[in-house]
Amino acid sequence: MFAPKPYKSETELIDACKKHNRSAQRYLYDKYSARMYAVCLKYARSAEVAKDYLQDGFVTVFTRMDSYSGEGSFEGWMRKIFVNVALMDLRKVDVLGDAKDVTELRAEAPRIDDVSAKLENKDVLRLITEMPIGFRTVFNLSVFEGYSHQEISEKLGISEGASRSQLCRARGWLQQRMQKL
Amino acid sequence: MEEKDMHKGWEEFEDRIREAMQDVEVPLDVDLFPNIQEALQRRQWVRLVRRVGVSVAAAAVLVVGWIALAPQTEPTIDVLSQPETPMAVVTEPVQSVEPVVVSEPVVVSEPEKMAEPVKKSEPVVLSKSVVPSVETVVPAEEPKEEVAPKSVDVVAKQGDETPQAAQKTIAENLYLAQADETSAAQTRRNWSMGLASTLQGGLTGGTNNYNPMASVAPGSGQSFQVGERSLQPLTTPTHHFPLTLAVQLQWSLAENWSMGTGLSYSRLHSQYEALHNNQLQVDVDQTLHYLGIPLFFNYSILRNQHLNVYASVGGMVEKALCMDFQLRDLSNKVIRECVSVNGVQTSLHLGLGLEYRFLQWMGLFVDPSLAYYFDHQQPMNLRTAQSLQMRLDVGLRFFL
Repeated sequence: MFAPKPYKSETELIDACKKHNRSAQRYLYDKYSARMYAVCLKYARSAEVAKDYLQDGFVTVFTRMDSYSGEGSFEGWMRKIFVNVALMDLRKVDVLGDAKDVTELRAEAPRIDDVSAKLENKDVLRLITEMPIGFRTVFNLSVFEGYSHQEISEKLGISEGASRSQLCRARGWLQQRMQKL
Repeated sequence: MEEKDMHKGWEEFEDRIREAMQDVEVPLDVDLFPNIQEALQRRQWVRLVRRVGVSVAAAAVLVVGWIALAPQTEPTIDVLSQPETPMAVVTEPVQSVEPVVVSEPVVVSEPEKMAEPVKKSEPVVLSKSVVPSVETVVPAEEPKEEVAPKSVDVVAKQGDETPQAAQKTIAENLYLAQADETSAAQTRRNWSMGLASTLQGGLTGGTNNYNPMASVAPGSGQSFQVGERSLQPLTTPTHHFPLTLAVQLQWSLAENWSMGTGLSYSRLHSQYEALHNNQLQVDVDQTLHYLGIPLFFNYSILRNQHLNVYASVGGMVEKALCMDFQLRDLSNKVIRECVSVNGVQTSLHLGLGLEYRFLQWMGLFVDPSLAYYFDHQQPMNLRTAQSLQMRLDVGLRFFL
């Protein structure tokens, strides 16, 4: 069977993908699919939905490969595409449609030692995927993507106050789950 | 606990979470890559159909617009279809003209003389009394009399003409109509010569689909001979847009039928990686030069003075003149070679054409068509990868 040729550098791989080289696309998929699937799982309601995000995300990556200028990390560029694919679907479902400003919960953060002791890396992902989809989205955008509450409010179509309250709810939920472990 | 401490605690917690999730990978239990490729091809197909649709819509708008704006020819008079109506009669009163008499008649007479015996040699002179005077009336300048017409009776008819004049006009119009028809017929039964260039692309989307009809499959371990060298493709080739230039000669067969032939040159450029003589990996730059002879038939669907929309069907036989090879190895050493190619490439074409004649002797044409390339074991190129192609021939046509 034809084995994909290993590419000497990421630039070479990206250039081949820009030329719609099928073997280069295959290589890129094999290299990043597991990592991007983890990103999709953070945002998806289920594993099946995460696979849909992954498929749509790669189609978008291959279609818009020409728009990658080479500035910044390629993986970071890909990650943004996958996050946007997930957000587009979440906006359709309107998971945060009834998000309102609520009084900020004053939840105490779990201790770092507790987190290190109780959770392995894959457990962290499982914990996050178990979080309700509404404030999970805000938590992901704030913690993993580094967006401000203003940026989150623009992306999700909610108020800035609602974004803050959703993050607080996410933290409170995490704290309760950590205590149960 | 102070708010500041709480905030800091959460920041540390989230940093730890972020660190834990940084390199997390979750392997998939299914291979989604075939689905991804299918979706990509679907997108390219949709894009191509959208482009074709826009082109067809633009062409349709052009056709409709020009037909609507085309100058309308005046209807010729058909004598046989004219109803039996009386001719227009213009009656004018008979003008009574009084005889004009010169006030002083000129009389030619001889003085009175006795009648003498008539001598033959002498003219006979007649006296005034015997012979009545001959009055020669020399009409002087007639005074003009203005006579107002009393009545004019006109019977309604197509054109105020007298019967004779009307028939003459009808005859003239018939003559002109026949002349127009002859002229148009002569115009249509022209020879024309066209110069065209072609845009071409595969209909199945993508340019890298492996074609099972190709003689060698990349990665299959099979190789093909190029002169004295053997090349084993390692990657699916990249096929660039073909360049085609053609000269056409076309002539009319009947009222709406025409046929044509010509000469066509196509350049097919492909790039891929291969194993050279089972030893060395090389980058291959391949260019095929095809010379072809087309044969086509056109049928005019819509036609006016400037515009002609026609359906076209035909075929082409092409022979590769040579295959240019450039091999570049990992140390950038380049080998160039030109090898001959056996066999021919045949194809079938079906399409529509739009011709706009902006001068009596010159026009512009656009021919979108579908072309199917038959498998004749030709070297790997865009046509072997995608047998069904969309073509767009654009060019100038000169009417001889």
